[in-house]
Amino acid sequence: MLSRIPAKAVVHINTRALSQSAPRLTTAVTRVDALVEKSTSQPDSSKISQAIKDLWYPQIGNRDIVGPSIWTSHDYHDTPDQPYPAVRFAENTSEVLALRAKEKGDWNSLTMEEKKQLYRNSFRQTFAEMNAPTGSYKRIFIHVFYIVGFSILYQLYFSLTCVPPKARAYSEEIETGRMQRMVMMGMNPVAGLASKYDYEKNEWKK
Amino acid sequence: MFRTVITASKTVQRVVPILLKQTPIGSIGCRKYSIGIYDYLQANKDLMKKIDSGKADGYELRKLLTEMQGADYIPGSEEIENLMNACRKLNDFSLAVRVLEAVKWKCGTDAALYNKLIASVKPTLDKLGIPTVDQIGYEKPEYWYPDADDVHNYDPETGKEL
Repeated sequence: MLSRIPAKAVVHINTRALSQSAPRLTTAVTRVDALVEKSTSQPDSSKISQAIKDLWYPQIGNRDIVGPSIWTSHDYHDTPDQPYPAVRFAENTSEVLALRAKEKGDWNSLTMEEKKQLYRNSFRQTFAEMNAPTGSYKRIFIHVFYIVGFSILYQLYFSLTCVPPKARAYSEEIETGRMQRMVMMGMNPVAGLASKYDYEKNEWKK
Repeated sequence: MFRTVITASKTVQRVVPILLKQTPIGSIGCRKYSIGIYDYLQANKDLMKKIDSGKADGYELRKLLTEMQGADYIPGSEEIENLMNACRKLNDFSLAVRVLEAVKWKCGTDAALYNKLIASVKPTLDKLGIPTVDQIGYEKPEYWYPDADDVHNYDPETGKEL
């Protein structure tokens, strides 16, 4: 992506657009060099021939490539930590080009609307719009509350209606009977139940 | 009588050069594990020279700006002035406003630092006709766009809320 073509990179837009696959492009680069003259200001994509545009610009359309891309393709992204995307946001229509020609003059003479339009031609969103809250957390909270609420209702319904009564073995009568048998058999004599029973007087220890 | 003195001086003559030679007893590998601090001010100045002489353009400028944005670093007033002049030289108004916005974003909650920086570069901005972020009205969101990646809340084709 960042492999440059220093010897032939005369007009930056086309050579850099082609820089993704530099080794295969020697013929194309020389052709572009013959077509366009040297300029150090902003790249002028109107000087690129239509054949090269059809070849290399199928995704970005008639847009200038103005910088290095952080991804493999030159595409537009608005992120605060990489705020300078590789292509301009607006296509090079006649109005955009007219405004860009006006940009070469004094910037003090531009009106605020023109300045804003210039900004929007290059970038889609401002930082404030990128960082604006979306309010999508409300939708997430709705989903979470729905799930938790339905779970509680489900649990209540089953515990009140569908759970069968306790088995007979858990009744108080059988429970005491079982305890009595454990005492008589002398189970857990050291720390268990039998240690609390006085076998001589045949009653619980006090 | 002088024999002991001469013997002693001969010993000194033999030993002192050996002591002064300081032959190393052992060698320890010495490596710099710190990557150091990249000098963005110097890189900025170098790029300004290149731009003035016509050897660099907005491509290199945006490359440096992206690196600066990724670093733990806030540009100073001199660098901001240089960047503004570079944008003027390259006729890229939108980039100048974007740089100011990026500086504001990097300052974060430190509004005092941002105000100080802007106050120090205000003469340059006025001379070039670049508005600050507050003047152009980008300190608050101007428009609202549906998020292109948000397919849960908005229809990606029409942009309307689902």
